[in-house]
Amino acid sequence: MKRILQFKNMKESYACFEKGEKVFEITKSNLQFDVKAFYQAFYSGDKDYDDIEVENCISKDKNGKHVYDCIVLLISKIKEKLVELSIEGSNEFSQENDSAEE
Amino acid sequence: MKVVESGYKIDLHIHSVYSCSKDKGKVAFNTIDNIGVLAEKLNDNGVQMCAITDHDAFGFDMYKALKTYENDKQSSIIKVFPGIEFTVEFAGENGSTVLHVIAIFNDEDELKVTKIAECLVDDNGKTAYDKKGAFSEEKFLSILRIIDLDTILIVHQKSSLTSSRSYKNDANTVGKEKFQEFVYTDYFEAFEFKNRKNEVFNKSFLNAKNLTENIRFITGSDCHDWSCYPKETENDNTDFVYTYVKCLPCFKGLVMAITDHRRIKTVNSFFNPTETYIKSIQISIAGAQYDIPLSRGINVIIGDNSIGKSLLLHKLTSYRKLQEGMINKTMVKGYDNYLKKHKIDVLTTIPVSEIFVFDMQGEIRNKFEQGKIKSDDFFSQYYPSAIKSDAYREKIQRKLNAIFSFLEEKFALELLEAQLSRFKIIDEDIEQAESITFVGSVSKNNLCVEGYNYISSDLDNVIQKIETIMDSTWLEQDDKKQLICIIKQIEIMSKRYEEKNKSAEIENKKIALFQDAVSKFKQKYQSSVSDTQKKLSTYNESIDNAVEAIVTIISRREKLMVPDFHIEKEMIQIQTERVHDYEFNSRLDITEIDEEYIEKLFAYVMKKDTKKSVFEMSQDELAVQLLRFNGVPSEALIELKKRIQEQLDSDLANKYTITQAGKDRTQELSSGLDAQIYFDILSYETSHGGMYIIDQPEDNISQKAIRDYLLDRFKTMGENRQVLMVTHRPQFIVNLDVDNVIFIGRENNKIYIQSGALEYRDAEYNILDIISEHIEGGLDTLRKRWKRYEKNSPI
Repeated sequence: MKRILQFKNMKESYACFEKGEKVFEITKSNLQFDVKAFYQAFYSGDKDYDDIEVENCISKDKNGKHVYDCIVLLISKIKEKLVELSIEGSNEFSQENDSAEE
Repeated sequence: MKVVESGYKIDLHIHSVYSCSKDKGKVAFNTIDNIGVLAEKLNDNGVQMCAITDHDAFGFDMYKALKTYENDKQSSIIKVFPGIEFTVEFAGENGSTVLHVIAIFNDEDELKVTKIAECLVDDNGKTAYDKKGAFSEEKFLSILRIIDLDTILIVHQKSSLTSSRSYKNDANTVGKEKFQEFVYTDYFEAFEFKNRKNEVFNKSFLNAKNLTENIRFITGSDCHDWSCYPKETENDNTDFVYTYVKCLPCFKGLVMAITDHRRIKTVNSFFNPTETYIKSIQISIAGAQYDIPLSRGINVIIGDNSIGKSLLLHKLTSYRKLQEGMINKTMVKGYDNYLKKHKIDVLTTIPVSEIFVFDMQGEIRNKFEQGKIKSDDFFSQYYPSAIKSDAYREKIQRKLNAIFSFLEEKFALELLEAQLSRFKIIDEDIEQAESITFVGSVSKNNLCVEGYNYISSDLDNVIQKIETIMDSTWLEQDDKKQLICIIKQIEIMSKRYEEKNKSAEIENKKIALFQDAVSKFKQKYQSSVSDTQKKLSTYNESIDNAVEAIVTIISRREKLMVPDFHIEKEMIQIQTERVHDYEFNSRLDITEIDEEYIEKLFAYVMKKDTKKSVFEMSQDELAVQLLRFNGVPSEALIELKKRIQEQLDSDLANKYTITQAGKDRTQELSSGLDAQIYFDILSYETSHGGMYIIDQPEDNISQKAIRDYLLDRFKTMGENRQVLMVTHRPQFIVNLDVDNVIFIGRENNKIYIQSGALEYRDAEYNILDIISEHIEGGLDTLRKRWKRYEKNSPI
């Protein structure tokens, strides 16, 4: 199921909200991206990560754009990589079956 | 005859014409002129000890006439005792009851025997009844006192004690209370019955009432017509069974036998007839030759401390304990010096083949020091073969491996998650790359190499296992062929995984080379790019690293399946060999493997308050909940594995236990209890022949245990085999009613030997006197055992 998060500009941070709840934020003062916090917000536990969309609710904020782009880039690269892996896995499986049939 | 070596057939209840006042014409044939008829009938029936016991009368001439047959080569009779069947009126709760009491007298003082008849009559020569045709109890006892001879009293009990109807003059007609008085005061030495059928009824009564030690039964023919002997009269159809007693054929022997139920039987089976035995021991001491007869039953060696009793056992067994490492050469040298000094030459040697077991002094205690019970040579033969737990272990191990792998991976992912880093988001627009940047990476796949390797190695182990099965001579040919096919298939499979492993290793090598090459290029180009380019490059690397790390966690997490404790239930049978009262078991600590057992394995190593499932625990939580664990969290799983493995090893290790009626005797190990088991088994062991030699069985065994069971075990052993024992305890001599006592004494520094059954005496010595003088506590024990029988004895 598609998850839609909102990327918002807060007083001291940029934050992602899911169902109205803040799940991830980046402090404006240092723009440090915490990968662990990002993982926990987007991918940990039983979270559905197949289809994540982050709506940018900020306009005309240069740093905000950089942060938003970084988040979106990560999400897309992760998705791309996971797809890659699943294709590799299925290829490996079919090769195994082929050799077993031989 | 010095030692007890047989049972003797007895009949202590025969009437002569002297019973005519009561029996009238029934005894008319039994005159002194016809004594030859009785002697012939007794001989025909093999009777060896007997007595004519007339109603309230004693015919000395009749007694003497029969006594002339004693030890006659043509006759079986070896002992005739004087006796009377008294008619006695006892007062019980049922009023006055007349009982018939047979009194057998010591025959050694013939002068007193001649006067027995006089004691029974009044001044007018009439039977001195003070009741109607009977003596009162007081009168009866006063007559016995006047006769002044040691006496054995036997009361009629012709009906069985289980019978609702009693015969006239039977002991139990006197009323319950008085009868109990008879029993618990040992008023009578024995109760007499006649009918073979009653034996079993009486025995079951004694067992049920726990009176086996209190009431002894013997049989008597009560023959009133010698021409019909052993029938009472011509019309008697009773199925009469004779009694055998184990003793020396003398009055004292009879006393000893009749007061110990183990010495009374209706078949002559006191000793094992198939068991070979050492008939005598030849010893020469300072020129004096001793040929010491041994009984087929229990022989004890007694004597003062350091007189050479233990030495004698070692010498008789050719110092076999030296070969067994139980004694040393110095000790043997000391023994030989002692023998030389006293000019003792032990001429008899007991061959190893004729020794069942030899327990030297202290050996039993040593045998049963905790833990040795299982390895003891003697017990080991009784245990069933060990339970092979490999299959159970494999099953459990597989489940544990799955659980441990899960935890390992879970904790590894926890670590990876904790290690997810931070990076700074680039805060400027970098439109164009100025030079090449290296992004992304290729990682070695070590897990894959490891996985293939495990499979290949496990398959090889399976092949080894199958080959072990194929080594068995019990495996059928068809199955062997099938196993060969299976091995071939597994070999192909193993080879395939070996190749996969090799390919993966090659791939990893390639990746390593590639990584190395990229790294070198990276270093080279990093030095020649702009700072902006470097910033971009670092940022891109951080993004890629974050992607790589998160994807790794996600993909590994997806593969991570939470296991459970479920395992198919399987029962583990205890292998049992029954030996006498005991079950010798080979068993594991667990009797079934199931989900509950796997859970218990984990619960065993966790703190009691642990509520969370181990599957939900983090590494830190595991470190906290693991019992008595003070290490760092990263070592908690290793410790958990180690402890569970130890518990599993312990649970699956074969254990030998001995149970008795479901109670585990090995759980309550004590040397005394072990010794009890040991003696129990020894005493009932009949599959191995030979003599049992023991030096001081009393060692490490309480007085109570000796009284409660050990004497009984030795009595049983004495019936099965020859026993040669050194002891200092009077109970082992007197209460055991041993068949032969060998006394080693010293006088004026000269060693001498005297021997014989307890009841034996000759012109030189009396065995009972020797025991009372030389065994500490011997006199007291004799007194207790002897009670009132030795009225004329100084003890």
